[in-house]
Amino acid sequence: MKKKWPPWVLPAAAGFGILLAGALAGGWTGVLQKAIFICLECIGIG
Amino acid sequence: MGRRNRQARRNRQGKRLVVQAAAALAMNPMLQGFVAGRIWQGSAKAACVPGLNCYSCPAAVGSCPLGALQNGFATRSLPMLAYAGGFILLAGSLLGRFLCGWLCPFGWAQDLLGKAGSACGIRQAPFLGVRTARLLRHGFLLAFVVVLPLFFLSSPAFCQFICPAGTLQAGVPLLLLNPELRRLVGVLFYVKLSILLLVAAGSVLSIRPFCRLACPLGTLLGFLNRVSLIALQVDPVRCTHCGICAKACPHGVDPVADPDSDACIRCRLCADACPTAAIRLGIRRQDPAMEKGTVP
Repeated sequence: MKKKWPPWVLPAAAGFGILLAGALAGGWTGVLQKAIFICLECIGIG
Repeated sequence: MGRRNRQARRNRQGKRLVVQAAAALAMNPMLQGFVAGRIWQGSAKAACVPGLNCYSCPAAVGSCPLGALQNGFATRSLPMLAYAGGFILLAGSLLGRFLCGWLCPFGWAQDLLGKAGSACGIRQAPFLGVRTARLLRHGFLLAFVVVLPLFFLSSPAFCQFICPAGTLQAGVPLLLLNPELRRLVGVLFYVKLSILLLVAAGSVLSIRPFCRLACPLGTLLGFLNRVSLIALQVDPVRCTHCGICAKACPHGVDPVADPDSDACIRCRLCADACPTAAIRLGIRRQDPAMEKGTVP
């Protein structure tokens, strides 16, 4: 009988792949740049 | 027996509050930032955390995935969108809205206010029905996370105009500690402060009003509740269809009819209320009854 994958496997693998692709393309640097300075929008004066 | 059950239920919900507190501390360990009035600037801030946790909170060590996603739309940066979107997809596939019920610091804050309300004898009733709440949540997600940042404002609109977690964790402490920031305060801050106070008052009167009516992160995770590794499962053999679980659910979900509802935050109140222990929260099984051996 063919083994059926649990339903979370495909979206989790896709999420990991997209996250990895984004990280390798430099997405993490953009997030870091936003996160290490006080976000004026977040504190309500931006 | 009834009293013992109630005590056991309180103990289990107490454990959830402890897990929530530990998660909030793990996401915000740099408490000295609340004294210095500065935000932590280490490289760990490149990583998203599993919860609505403002990256401008002086104690935060990571980034809010929703803030990162909005900034991806606002700056039209595909790598940033993929990075934040991939994280939400991965976290949602593994945890679903268990993340809301057990890890999110702002959910914890609302739960604490709810507990305070209950201790004062306030009987909490949900604002609006499940469908109307869902519509509102979807509207906030579409308008403030996607459309406004991408096409009109080029800024994280949900953070800017609504997010009460940002006001609580970053706005209030940073403005209290920095006189130069206080000079910049305008109408927008008072609008956001009013939203925070409204959510705080609502949390005393109702269960998690922000999560139910507005949270875009919860909405995204709710889509993945149907497939997530951590799930609520009902043993069809043990279940007597007494309806006690549906009455126990503060979010208006019937766990027997729809255990993977996008409104379910996996708080486990239904499982604790079940007199036959037919509901369990844990790793999703393909067919729970067959795996447990209750069905031949």
